[in-house]
Amino acid sequence: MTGSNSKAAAAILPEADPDPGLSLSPVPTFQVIYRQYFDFVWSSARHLGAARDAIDDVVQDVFVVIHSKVATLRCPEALRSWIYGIVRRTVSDYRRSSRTRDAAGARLGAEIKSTRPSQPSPLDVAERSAELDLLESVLAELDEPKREVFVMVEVLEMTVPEVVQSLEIPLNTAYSRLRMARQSFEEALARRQACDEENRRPCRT
Amino acid sequence: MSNLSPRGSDLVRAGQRAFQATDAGRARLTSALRARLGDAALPPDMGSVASTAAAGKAIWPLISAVAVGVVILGGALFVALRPGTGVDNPQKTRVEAVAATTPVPVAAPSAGQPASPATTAPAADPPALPATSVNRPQDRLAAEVAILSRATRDLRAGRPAEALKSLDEYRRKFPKGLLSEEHRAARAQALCALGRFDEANAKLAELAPRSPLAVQAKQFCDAKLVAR
Repeated sequence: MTGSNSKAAAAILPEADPDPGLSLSPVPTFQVIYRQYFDFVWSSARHLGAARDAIDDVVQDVFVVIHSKVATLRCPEALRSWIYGIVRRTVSDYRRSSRTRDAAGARLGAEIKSTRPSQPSPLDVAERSAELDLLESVLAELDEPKREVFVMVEVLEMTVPEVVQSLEIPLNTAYSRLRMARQSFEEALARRQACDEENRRPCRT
Repeated sequence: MSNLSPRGSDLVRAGQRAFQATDAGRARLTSALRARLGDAALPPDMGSVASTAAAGKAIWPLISAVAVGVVILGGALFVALRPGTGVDNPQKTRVEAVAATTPVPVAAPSAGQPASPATTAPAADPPALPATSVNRPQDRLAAEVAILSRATRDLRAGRPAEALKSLDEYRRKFPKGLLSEEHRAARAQALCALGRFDEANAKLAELAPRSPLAVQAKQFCDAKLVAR
């Protein structure tokens, strides 16, 4: 997308509205947002990498942020993009702090593992499926920018304009990433299927 | 999931199922958040939040009781918010398909669609592009944005009839536009502002039921109904 087109697209993208007082629609109440976007927040957080044992904290933190900021939301039309942005930052912060905690507790963790081998909980086992394993392994072959757009559109069912708003990338870039991600996804899937059918060599990861 | 193979679509659905919120999770988090944010944020009588679709079913009939005639709108919304209607995917599919392929030439005006003259764009609008240049995707997008921006400004300025003219122009020039969803939402709001609620209902029903555009367009129309 050219610079002029970026500006043109921004003209109707709610987040870029230069006058917050001119929004067409009222800002929904927190309660309405909670009802309507709970599932979305949960799924987004999980797909962004929030672990099962962290999901409660992440989802809570997301809604606390929404609660504190919803009154300042300039463009209700971009609500889902706005929420996704909050989920994205929250998961990122959580993962960063988890790594810090992990590093600090590495010695203790090693001691625990040495005496009590970690096993997946029944919930973890129930959550997993061969299909999910395959999906994740295929997605792992995509580079991060493409994978994120793919998950946003295909799994979370966001529209491409919402992706543009959330990631602050040009519309054409979003479409380009999506197109390439789909292609890479299908190619990776085909490789794995061929590999499974041959059953001769380990599949590339 | 329009452009994926059946196997790819199956995998994506598996991913969606695997990471869905659970009822227990909803109940647990609603209780925890209520403790953190207070009853004013999440009143106890709202209970645990139900699934999105179920919540929509509960909300919109409630709104519909506010004013005479809103039952009609609520019914349309009720249908639109049902899970599994597949309303959103075809729209998303269409929009994405346009961009994912080669540039689409500007279509001739449809015989079945009204052809209204374009309104004069304010000075702040991106310059109108000659018809021949919109074969390029970026020019086409800019042209779409220019028309919808004009319609949006007219709506905000309380000129829904003018907005509708711009939206007619958009529909005529871009029957499969990249911003079709935005066009539909704006059209629904323009129709509501003009009191043409039956037509607005039809447009609302075409919107992806859970999209922010749909939610806000419905709220706009509800406000207009209440203000009647």
